Amino acid sequence: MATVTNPAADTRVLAAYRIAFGAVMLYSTIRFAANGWIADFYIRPKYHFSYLGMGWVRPLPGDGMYWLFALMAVCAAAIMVGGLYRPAILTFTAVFTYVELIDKAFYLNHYYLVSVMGCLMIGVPLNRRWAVDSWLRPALRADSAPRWALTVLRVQIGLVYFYAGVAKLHGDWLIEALPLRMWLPARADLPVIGPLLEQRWVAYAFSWAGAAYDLTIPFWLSWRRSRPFAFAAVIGFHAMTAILFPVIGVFPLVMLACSVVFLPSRAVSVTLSRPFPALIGVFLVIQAILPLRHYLYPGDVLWTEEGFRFSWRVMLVDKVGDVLFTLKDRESGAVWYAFPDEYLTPLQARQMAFQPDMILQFAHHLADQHGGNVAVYAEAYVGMNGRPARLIIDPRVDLAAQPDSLWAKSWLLR
Amino acid sequence: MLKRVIVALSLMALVGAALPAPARAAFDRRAMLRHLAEAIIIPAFREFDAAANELDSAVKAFAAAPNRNTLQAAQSAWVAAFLAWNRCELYAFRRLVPLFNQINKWPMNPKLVEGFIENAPIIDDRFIEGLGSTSRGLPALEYFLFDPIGGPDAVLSALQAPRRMAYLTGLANNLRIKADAALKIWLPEGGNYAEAFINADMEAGDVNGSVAMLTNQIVILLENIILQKVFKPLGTGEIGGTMPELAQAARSGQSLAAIGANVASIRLAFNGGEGIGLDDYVDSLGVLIDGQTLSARFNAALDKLVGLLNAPAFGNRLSPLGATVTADPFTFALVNDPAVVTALWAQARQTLRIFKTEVAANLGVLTLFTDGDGD
Repeated sequence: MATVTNPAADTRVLAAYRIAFGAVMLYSTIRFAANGWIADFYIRPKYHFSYLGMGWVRPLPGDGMYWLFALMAVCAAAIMVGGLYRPAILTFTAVFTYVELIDKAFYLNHYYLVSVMGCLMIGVPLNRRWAVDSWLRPALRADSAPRWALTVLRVQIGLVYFYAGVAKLHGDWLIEALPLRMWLPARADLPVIGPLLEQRWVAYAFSWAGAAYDLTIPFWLSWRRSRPFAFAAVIGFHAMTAILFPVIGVFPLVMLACSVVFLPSRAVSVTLSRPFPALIGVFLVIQAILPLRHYLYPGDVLWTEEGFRFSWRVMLVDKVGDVLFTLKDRESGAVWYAFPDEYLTPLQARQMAFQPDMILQFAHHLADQHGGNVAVYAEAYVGMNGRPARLIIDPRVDLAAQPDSLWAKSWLLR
Repeated sequence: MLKRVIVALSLMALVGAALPAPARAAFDRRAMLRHLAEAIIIPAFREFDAAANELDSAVKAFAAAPNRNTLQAAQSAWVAAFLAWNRCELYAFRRLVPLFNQINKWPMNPKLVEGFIENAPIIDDRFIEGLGSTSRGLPALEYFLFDPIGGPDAVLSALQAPRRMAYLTGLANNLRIKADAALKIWLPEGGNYAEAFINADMEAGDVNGSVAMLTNQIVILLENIILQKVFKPLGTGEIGGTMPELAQAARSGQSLAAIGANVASIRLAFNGGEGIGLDDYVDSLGVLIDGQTLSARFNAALDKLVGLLNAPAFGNRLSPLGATVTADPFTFALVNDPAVVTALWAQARQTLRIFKTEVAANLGVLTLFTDGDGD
């Protein structure tokens, strides 16, 4: 295993990132609880859309979910101040990821990013400066850390931006300026820039600039000469997204916190070195491959959603669905209908209505609910980027008989 | 480094400021909301308030002299108030829902009501005000005023019991109070919600923005029609067989008329009547599908829906429940020609699909009824 001794990473950058990450996570956790979303997302729903093979991840009973979020908040605070850093980041990441794995209806790219960064942060020494740990244990204090400590964080953020940019190289985004052409005019009430947002050329400018930004910003942030301008662009970009799309919540804050890793690392003398953990290397390789898996599936990933999650397709498409399930008793031939709204929360129903794997999962749930000996058919209409809705699933296919797997779905109308 | 970032940000701001900004937005959303609030929504609540006051007077007159004539007057007043309410139902914005439930939460609970009549120590206005939503409001009034099997004689006979009559008059008085409150919420002398509605505009683009709220309300009402008002009575659920008793207003025979009133209110809000409405806003975006504007597509779907509501199969027939006084065309068709109800259901779903995937999507509002982040 190679040991890198020079150049080293400036622990001030690492510490600044840790503080920013912890602060944003603390705010995000408190905000989540204050909005009543713990109950809305994890207590009230009668059914949860599990990730494949993760059906065992269930909400904790009673007040368990509230305690989990309290634990997350405590850990986030500990990360921020650098107290018991390693146990705190380990616990935070485990709990946060557990919560996110409960229901894929609530999947968000920036939640996934938090889990990914948390995993990396477990293996990176971020508490050598400006931390309670290094204050209590002077032996821990250091001006420098192994260079890879900073590099792995930068590579991960770079991957996020880069793949978000690659995802934008799509006809709808570049040629039609969709969905920004639909979203921007809705913000015409904004002072100063509002009227501009109704101009079609502005949607095109935002689309192309957004793609260029995502594709190249990691490189501009990494180059010493362009770094100040790149940071200004990062601040401007995320401030703009926060203003234009308030519904994205803490996403801009998470990205701004992550951008801290690109702050200039001053030349420091190396006093300590640690070998590069192979596990982190494997992790990054997986991160580099995972967003490309949609190429294994036929059709447009924005329509089929096969390989959509975990691939940094952020604010890329506007989809609305409407699905009606028909159940047929295999013995008696009796036919009846099921409306998702009667089983799911509005948010779950909305998310499921345009995501085929969730429709399949819910069809299985309906079959289970009715003793298993029923065929389940879905009449699922999906409208993408303001176009007329069309069927996304072959309505003649018995979904109860279709396996839930990672293989391409033969019953999808691509 | 920090200085350079600040310089770069300043440069960006300068470049942004130098860009020629259009003098004003191409479409004046605030003017649309003002028109909708002042010319469409407030008049709808005013109409309901007047109808509820009429109903209260008619019920009082009936209580003073119970006979067929005064009963018929009370029944007519109830129908007018009920349909007026169904033209207000669209505007059940989140903060108004509790009040809306006190006015028209259905299905009502007859067992509960009979229990109160049997056991309540005293039935007066205060007692009625303390009732839950399923024991009061328009559906409870319908329960007392209409009897599709026994007809007016049965109604008159039942209301000879003083406690039943006290419950009825208490309900009418309470509805009048709630109708006044529903109107006042919108007026400057009350909650001035109209001004809040206008000012909220897009309100940070979230689900609380007025355009988003109104759009969502159209989706919610269409979904309500599809699932509660048509599908459940149609009985194609697990139990099987039509279930006329689940129709919204089978006792009074106003189930179909209520759906018609709902659809009329959607059309009025969408088109803004003679003025500026959501149709103008969505068309201002310049989106065409198959050469048609989005408003034309949605209005065509509404036209088809109205055409089905007026289908001959719904004609003025006697109720299958054996009514002699009231006839519910909806329940009649449910039993005798369910295909026409199924067609109505399918068209309502098509109308909803067009609204959600074309109109709401292009308006850039979220058809989302709970908060939550997205990315």
